[in-house]
Amino acid sequence: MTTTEVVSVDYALEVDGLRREFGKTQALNEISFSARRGTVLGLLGPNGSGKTTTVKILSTLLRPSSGSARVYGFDVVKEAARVRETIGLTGQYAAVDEDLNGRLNLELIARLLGYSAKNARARADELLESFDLVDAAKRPAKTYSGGMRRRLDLAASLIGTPDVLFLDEPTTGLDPRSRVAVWDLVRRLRSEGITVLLTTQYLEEADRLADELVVLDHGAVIAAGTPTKLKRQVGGQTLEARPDDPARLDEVALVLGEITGTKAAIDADTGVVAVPAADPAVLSAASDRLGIAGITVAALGLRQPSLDEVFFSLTDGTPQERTAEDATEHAKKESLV
Amino acid sequence: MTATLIEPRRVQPRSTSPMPAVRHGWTMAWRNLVKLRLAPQIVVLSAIQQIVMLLVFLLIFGGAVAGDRGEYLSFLLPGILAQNLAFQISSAAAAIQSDIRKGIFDRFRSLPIARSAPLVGHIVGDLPRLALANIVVVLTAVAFGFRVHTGPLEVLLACAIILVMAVAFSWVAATIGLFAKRPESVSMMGLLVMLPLAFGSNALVPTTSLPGWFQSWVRLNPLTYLSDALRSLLTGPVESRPILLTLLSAVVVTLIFMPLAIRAYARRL
Repeated sequence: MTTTEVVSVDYALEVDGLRREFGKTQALNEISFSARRGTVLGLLGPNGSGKTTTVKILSTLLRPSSGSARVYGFDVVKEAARVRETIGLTGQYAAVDEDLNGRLNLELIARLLGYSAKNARARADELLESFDLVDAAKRPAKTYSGGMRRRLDLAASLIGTPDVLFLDEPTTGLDPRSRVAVWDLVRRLRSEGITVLLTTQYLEEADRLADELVVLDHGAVIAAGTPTKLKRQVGGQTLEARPDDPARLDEVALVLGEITGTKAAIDADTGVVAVPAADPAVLSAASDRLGIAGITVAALGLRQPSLDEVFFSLTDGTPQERTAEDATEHAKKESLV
Repeated sequence: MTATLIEPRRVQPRSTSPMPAVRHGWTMAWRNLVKLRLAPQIVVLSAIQQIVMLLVFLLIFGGAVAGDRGEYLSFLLPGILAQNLAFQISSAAAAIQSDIRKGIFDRFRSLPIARSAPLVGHIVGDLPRLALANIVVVLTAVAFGFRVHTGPLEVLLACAIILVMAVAFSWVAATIGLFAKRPESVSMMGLLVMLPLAFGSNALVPTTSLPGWFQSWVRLNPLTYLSDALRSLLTGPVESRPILLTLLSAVVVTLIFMPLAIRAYARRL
C-alpha cells in the first residue's frame, strides 16, 4: 500500500501540474489543486482563465498536454472509462435535446446508460419530481425557460448517480430566482455526499457555495483556500461607522482614529467613516466612546473585504480591461478546436 | 421536495448488455423515431416532398428519356431510391453538428458508454427516416403503375444494399458534421457533396445521354452503381456486376471517410 493510494481515498479530485495547449495558446499552465470528498470546490476566474478547459479535462472530454488529474483516484487519461462511471457533467450550455420533451430527454440518457425502457421511465419520473419539472414533463424542451432548461440539464447529469458532479457556470444567464434555485440544489447535493466542482465568474456564488476556492487567471492558479482565508489574505477587517448626523463625521473620525491608532478615512458621499482594524475588540471600544461623546450612529461594525475586492486585488485588473483580451483569446481557441 | 436527488428509490440498477454498441445505436434510433412521432408534420412534409419529386421527374423527363412514362417509371424509381441517400447526407451532418454545438455530444462523451456510441448512434439513428422516405416513394410509384418483376429475395437484397450504402455515406455525413463549425457551413458542404452525387449519376437519365466528359464522373459515382443494382434487383434481369460494384464503392467510400471522421472526432480531444 503506497501513500498515494491512501490519499486518493480522501480526495475526490487531485490535479497535479496540469497543462494544456491549443496550438500556441497556453490554456492551462501547470495548475494543481485538490478537493476532499463531499465538498464543493469553486473554480473562480474571468472568461478565458481556463475554467472550462479544466472541467473538460476532468470529465475526460479533453486530454491534458501534460500533468495528471485523478477523479476518485482514477486517472482521467488511463482510467477514463472508470472516471466516466463516477462523474456527472453539466456543461456551460444546457445540453438538452430541444425537440424532445423533458421526460424523454432524461429517458434517452437513462437508456444509453443501460436502463430498460420501463426503468428509464421510472428514473426519469423520479428526477422530474426532484427537480420540480413534473408539470413540464410532456412539453418539448425548447419551450422551457432558462431556469427549467438548466434544471433538466442538471437532472440529466444525475441519472447515473454520480459521486462527483461538474457544473460549468451553472447560473450564467439565469434570472435571480432560478439562480437561487440552482444554489439550493448544489447545497442539497452536497448534503447527500456528492462532491461538486463548480465554475463561476460570480464571486457571490463562490462565496455562498464553495467550501474551498481555486482562483484561476490566464490558465494559472493565483490563489486557493477557503473564502474566509482568501478574504483575510488580501486585507484585514475594516471598522466602519455612520453617524446619524453627517455634520459629526469629523468627530467620529477623530474617535475611531484614537481607538485604532490609525487615521480614519471619511467618505462624505456615503457618510461613512472607515479605518483598518486589526483587533476585533475595537468594536466595543468604539461603541462606548461614541456613546460617551453623545454621537448616535445609524451603523457601526466590522466589515470583511468582499470577494470582489479580493478578486480584483489578486488578478490586478478590472472587468473592463479583460474583455477585449479575452475575446481574442477565445476566438483563437475557437479556431483551433 | 423531500426526495433525495440522486439515489434511485424504486429503480433497479442498470443491466449490462452483451452488445453495448448495438444497444446505443438502437437507443439513438429510438430518439429519432420519437422525434418523428412528436413532429408528425415533418413526416407528412417529407412524404409530400418524396411524392412531388417522383412526379416532377416523371413528368419532366418521362417523355424525353423513354418516350413512355410507364417505362421511365421503372427506370426512375430505383434512381430516386439511390438519390435519397445523397439527400440524407446533409440532414445527418446537420444533426451531428447540432448535437456538438448544443453540448449534447459532450454529454454523451462524458457517459460511461462506448466512445464511438454518439457517432454510431447517429449512423443507425438516421435509418428510420430513410426507410420512411423510401416506403413513401415506392408506394407512390406503385400507385402510378410501377411493378416489381423479381422475387422477394431480390427485394430483400435491394433493401440490404441500400442499407450498406447508407452506412457508408453516413461516414461522409459524420465527416462534414464534425469538421463544420456552424450550421450554415454544414448546409453548404452538404449541398456541395449532394449535388454531384445525386445529379451526376444515372439516377434520372441514362449515362449515354450525358456529355462525354461528364460521363467519366457519372461512371465513377457510387450512386450510378446503386441505381443500376436496384434496377436489376427490382425490375430484372438480375445482374451481379452492378451489385458487386455497389458493394465495392461502399467499401471505398468507407475507407476514405471513416478515417477522416475518426480523425475529426479525435481532434476534439
